[in-house]
Amino acid sequence: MNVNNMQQVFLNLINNAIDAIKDSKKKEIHIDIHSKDAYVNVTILRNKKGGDIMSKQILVIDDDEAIRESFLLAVEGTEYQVETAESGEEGIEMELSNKYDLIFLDLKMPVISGIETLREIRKTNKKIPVYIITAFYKEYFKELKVIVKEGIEFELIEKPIDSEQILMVVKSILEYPISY
Amino acid sequence: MIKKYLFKLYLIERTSKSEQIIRNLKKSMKDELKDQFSLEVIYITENPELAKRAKVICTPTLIKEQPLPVRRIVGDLIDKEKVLTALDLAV
Repeated sequence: MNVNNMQQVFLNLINNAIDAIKDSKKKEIHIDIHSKDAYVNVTILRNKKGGDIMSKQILVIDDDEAIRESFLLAVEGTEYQVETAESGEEGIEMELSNKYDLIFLDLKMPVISGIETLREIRKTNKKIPVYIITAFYKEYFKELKVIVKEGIEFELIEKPIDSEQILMVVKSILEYPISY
Repeated sequence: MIKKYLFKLYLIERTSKSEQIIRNLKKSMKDELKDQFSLEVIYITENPELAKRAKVICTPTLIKEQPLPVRRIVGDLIDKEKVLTALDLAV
């Protein structure tokens, strides 16, 4: 078998394994390839969050449908996947799946506020980046100072924000710092 | 003494993470720029109007005001190499 054929066979093996792991509940698949002179072992690992191997998952928690839509539109056609929650309660429940890489969280929400939602999330997940969506006004920041004193980590993203800015911020958090 | 590089760093508040960002940035800048820089820190919760005037859209944001052109950097500012690359200062 010539080199090009071997490469194609190898690629087909890998792609079939990736398809198999996507469709199954297996966490990993091992491929062993033996020849007279060499031995190759390939392990395909399922993304620990259960999604596509390469995509990053974002959760947007906001009672404002327009805001939720704006995040969905901003990442449409990219490798990022956005899921949305209409309330703090729904967001807290969704976050328990532990499949997200990033959360955007509205500050002002009825019933369970953004602050309370963040407190709950941080009880089980101290590491996930959480960006609170808020207008930059001093009176909104009084309650934020309280959770800062509690040692709860978060960052801020300004409202309103356009699609281009949303995507830039997402990339800068999940990939590398962006200069503009 | 007039500094060649002027930076402004916009953070939420004084926290252990923000202190770490400041420390890392100062060290990176000192290593690359020696004493040719100044770094001003602005806490958005105390001065939101300054952030709005500077068109900061998220935290943390590092702004290089001098030399021109003005550049804004957003994202993970803890990693030295990534920040220097974004600033075009990486060797």
